[in-house]
Amino acid sequence: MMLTRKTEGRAERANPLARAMSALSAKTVDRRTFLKGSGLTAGAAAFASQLPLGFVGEATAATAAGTGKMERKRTVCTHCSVGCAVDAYVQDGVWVRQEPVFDSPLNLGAHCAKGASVREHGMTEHSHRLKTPMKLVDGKYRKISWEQAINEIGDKLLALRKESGPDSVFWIGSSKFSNEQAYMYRKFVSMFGTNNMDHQARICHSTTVAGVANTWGYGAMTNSYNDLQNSKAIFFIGSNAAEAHPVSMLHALHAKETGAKMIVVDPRYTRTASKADQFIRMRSGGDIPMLFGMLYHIFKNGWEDQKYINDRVFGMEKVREDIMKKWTPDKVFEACGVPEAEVYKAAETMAKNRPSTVVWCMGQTQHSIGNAMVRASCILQLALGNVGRSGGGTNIYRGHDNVQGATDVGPNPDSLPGYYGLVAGSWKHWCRVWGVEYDWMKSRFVSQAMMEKPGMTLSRWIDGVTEKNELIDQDSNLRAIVYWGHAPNSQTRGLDMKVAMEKVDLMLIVDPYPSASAVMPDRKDGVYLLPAATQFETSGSCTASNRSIQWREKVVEPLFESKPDHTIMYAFAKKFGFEKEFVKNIKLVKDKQGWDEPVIEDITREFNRGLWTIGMTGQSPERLKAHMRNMDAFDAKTLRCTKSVVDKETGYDMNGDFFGLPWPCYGNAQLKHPGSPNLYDNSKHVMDGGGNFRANFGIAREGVSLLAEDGSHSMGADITTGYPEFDHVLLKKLGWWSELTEEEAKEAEGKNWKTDLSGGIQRVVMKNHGCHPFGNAKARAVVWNFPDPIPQHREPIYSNRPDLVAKYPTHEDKKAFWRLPTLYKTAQQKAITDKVHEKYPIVLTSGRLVEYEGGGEETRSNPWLAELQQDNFVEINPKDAEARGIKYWDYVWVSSPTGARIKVRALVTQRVGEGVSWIPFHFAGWWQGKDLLEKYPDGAAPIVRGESVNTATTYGYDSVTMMQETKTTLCQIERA
Amino acid sequence: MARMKFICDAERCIECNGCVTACKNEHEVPWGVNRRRVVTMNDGVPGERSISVACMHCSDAPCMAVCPVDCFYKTDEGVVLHDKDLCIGCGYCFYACPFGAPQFPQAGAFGLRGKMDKCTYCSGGPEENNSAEEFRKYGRNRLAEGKLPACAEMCSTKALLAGDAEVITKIYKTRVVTRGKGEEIWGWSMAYGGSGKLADQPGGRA
Amino acid sequence: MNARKLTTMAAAVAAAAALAGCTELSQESARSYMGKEDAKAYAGDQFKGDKQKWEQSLATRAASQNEYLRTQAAK
Ligand code: SF4
Ligand code: SF4
Ligand code: SF4
Repeated sequence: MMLTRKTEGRAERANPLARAMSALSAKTVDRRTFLKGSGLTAGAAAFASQLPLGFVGEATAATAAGTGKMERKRTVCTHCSVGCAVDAYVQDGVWVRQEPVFDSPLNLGAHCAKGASVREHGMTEHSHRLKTPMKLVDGKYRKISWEQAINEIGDKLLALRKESGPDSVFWIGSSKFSNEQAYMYRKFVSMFGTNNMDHQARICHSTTVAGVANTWGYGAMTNSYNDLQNSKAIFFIGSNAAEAHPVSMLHALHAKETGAKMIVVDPRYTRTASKADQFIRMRSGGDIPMLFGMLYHIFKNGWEDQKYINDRVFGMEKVREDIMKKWTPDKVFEACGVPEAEVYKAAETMAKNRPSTVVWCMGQTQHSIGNAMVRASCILQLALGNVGRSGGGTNIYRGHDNVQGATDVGPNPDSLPGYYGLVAGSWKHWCRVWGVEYDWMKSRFVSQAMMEKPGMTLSRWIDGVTEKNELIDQDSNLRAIVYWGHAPNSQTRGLDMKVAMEKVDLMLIVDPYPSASAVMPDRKDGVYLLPAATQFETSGSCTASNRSIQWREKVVEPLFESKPDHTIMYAFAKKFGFEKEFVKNIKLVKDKQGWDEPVIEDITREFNRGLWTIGMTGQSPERLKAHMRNMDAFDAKTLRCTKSVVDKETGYDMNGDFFGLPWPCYGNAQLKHPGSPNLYDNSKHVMDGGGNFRANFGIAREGVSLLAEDGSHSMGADITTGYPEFDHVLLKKLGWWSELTEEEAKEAEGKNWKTDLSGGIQRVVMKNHGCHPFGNAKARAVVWNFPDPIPQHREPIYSNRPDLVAKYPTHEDKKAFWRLPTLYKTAQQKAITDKVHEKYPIVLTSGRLVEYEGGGEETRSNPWLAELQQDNFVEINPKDAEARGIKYWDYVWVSSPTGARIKVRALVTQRVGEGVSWIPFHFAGWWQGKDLLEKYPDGAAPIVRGESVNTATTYGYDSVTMMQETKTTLCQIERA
Repeated sequence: MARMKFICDAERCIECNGCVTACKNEHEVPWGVNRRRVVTMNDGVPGERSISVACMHCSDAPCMAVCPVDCFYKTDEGVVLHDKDLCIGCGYCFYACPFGAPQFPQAGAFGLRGKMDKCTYCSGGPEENNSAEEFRKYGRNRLAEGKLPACAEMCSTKALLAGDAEVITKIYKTRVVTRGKGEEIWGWSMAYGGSGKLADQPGGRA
Repeated sequence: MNARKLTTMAAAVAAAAALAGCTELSQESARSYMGKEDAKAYAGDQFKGDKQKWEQSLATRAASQNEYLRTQAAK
């Protein structure tokens, strides 16, 4: 009880909100004054006069009295990929209440702290939003008009384009865009003339997407959060779902309750670990030894699924040989620190409790060998025959609310929407969909070569600015950087980033909040901030981690002077002179201020016409909206609607559909494919969401067939052997061509299942013959086109174990890799020669807090969340703390091999093992001990600011995707 | 008549603070005042468990007993509420409460300066139901809208249950039976006297 | 105040709970409430005194907390 009281005392003492407010000399205003003053531009006067008094509650009371209509708008939480539905109640244009959506099969009304806070997204008196366009003048942010902003920025970008070519600008987009906006951003930057664009997925799951797609077809979560309920064992490796995907735990804990065994492998005893039956503390970066250590026991005991491997997997024998030779228990222990008994127990649990599933997250992806680690997870699941089974699969939890969607259709430097790649045929396909001439498109780029060359990546743009010109694989260095819905503090090498930010001619930040980009560089000018609206201030679709697509209704009009991203894109397109091409098939409407806004549904319809590869063709806006209005029709375990439920508004019957039509939902909307809840599931008919592994890597390799064995096929398929992907030739050979309608046949001539815009090939193959348009092949345990075809353990660039570096060295350096030279061996060897591990003996790893999201600007500006986490901290083991004279909550300096020093609190805890430290990555606003408060635009600093862990993180990139290595580096910690 | 209670299922609570935030959102509780919070035992070591705690609306409420101005009352549903017009902010209730529920806002619009504030089980206070005055002093009255507490309704894992004691013990029982863990309901014996064992509750019997 | 710091008080709360039986406080019935009278929860605009309807509404909401009901429908 005494302690309880002390807590109260502390809570009252520390009030950064008050500090932030007074420091900015912002007046405390009541809601009414605020709403008036905020110039909630659209009809501000109208609703300010209607809103009776200072409190929302009074507005509620007013409803009862019969004034002001209360409207319900259904939206989706914007803070993670679980996709929790939210009911927003809006009165007189103000979002006054938030209610749980019990009907949602994904979250059943549940929310974590972030979801429970979304009503406060900058619309109360505490708003820390970026309210108007701003320009940095003499080191101070000054308000400017939109017109001036678009003109000045546009002129500068056009001048750079002319002087140094379109590749001199790097466009970072966002995983918080809706699918429509993400898709338009890809188009927009293409029309500017470059592939230099990227978004959060690069540093989130790029290694997964590449590794998993190359193993069996699609780079996505195979099953769903809900499907965990069908698992008998759940194996988390590098995922702290309890903090990163809290509501997914509703399904995991339900499964556990009904008997599933839960295993957590992590360097930290996380909150997820506290719920596990078995917790395994692993050395950071030891994933491959751990996973292959398990496979060693699986093979030794004959627990693998031999028939499955024979029918559906290529190359397992080679992998097996490699594992049995290299990953004996002693080697496993040496490399990842897990004793044989624990590895054995985990292997046995996974083998004897099938279907068992593997869950992974950033703990596995953010390594210089991330692509290999994720493939090791895939191989484990293939050996156990768990992929393509309900309750099994690789449940890859994505991060942002629409990072899956932005990866599928958005700003990727190496691909057009739908993973079509960048070859001429892909460009031609999309030009047809966009309604523009291929030659015109080509003329926007420097050359066809540059048009087909993947751009730089988000993780490396800083080197695109600072690297020697002769070493980069494009004409000019980068001269402008656009951060459009992306935080800078989620990327590593903060010190180098600051230099790059100071070197470019122009920085453009488009975001609802100023973000750390606004304050990191010491610049006097050349920075513009443009206020973007949040997803609650527009409508559109977003793809949850399980590939279910949900539709958000617009809750309120854009706040302050903000504009939705697609409206801003259109304004720039106009300035750049390609607005006609940009919206060929898309209508425009005038918004309240007379701006042209592309109609969201038209954008959805346009991508529906082009995304055949991943089956994002069947999800028409009408179907998606019907699902959102009738969520209770879908079962929370299977996600399926199993009876006739007719949407009142459209008359659409959802019978048979899976919620949100998880892609692939092939064919056009009329085909009424139900969506695919679990990928590659051959126990179902393709028109029931069934499938098999994709034929994407040829039909034979070194004389061995890559197609599935006879008898292994999706249920009811007319072809009962393996078969290649479908095109017009195969269709004719099989005698199925005549089943196309005349119109379809006209379009399908010379095309394949991915480029036939009529959808006829997909229709005939699936509906008439039960076959899979992408063929029926084996998954690849050996990915021969990757640097390590069989996943190999390699020590991180900054390793604490020189002895292991000698045994497991990293790759050779690379030239012109995503347009940049990239160091591996040189950097690792230098660290060894410099004895970095002696000066920086503590392993540094990073991760998430439940209260904050991503770079954290939005959530740290939300008082309800900010109150819960007011300081950044480093978790340090009691032994390491004692050795350094560090006490609980002392300020400490964490220094890294880059020379950076960051000041954080010490959270002394056994959560981390000896010699390991952990720092959450959501903080920014301090720079090496200094609060940057005065650098923010007035009134727009986040409530909680703190040191960013990435100010201190080091060099290291994945050898396939340029994923940054955040999870394993080194540091030293001392008392401040 | 329904008897409103809370159950927090420690096997499910993941310390996500969803409940805490739901409460802030629904009642616009100011910074520094926490009607609900999550406490963790064995933080960071095996055996770590969290519990979400607010006013438990005790049977023989200690706060009620010690209040010098008798501003507390109990509704038909067993919810312990108080009249802020009467409260003198003396803090006795805080010392008496075994759950640390009463809060004392320093200043600002919420409630009145120095008046005690605590969890109302989302059922307002002695003002007209769902009136502006009720919201200003006590927050929203969800019960009067036929809804249950925001914190429990939004709990991320459905660890926190609210509603009629018999109904929620039944829900809880399904879990305890399937997993064989959690027989003791946290805080019940303290708040309601007698046994806190599931089997001893009306809804928990076979 | 860092939420993670609250953990130190956890043990205390738990201990307090374990020491149940503060019998000397069970005298509330002897005291009488001095404040304003409060209306019944079902008295407002929403239910207009219809207690049954109100109780039904609460029962439906309570059932929403039981995900077993949403998942067994599959069977
Ligand atoms: S952050 Fe994720 S788990 Fe939390 S409420 Fe939002 S979508 Fe749900
Ligand atoms: S019942 Fe209502 S007032 Fe009490 S803690 Fe929950 S949300 Fe807050
Ligand atoms: S919302 Fe539920 S799981 Fe989260 S802290 Fe509260 S009680 Fe625990």
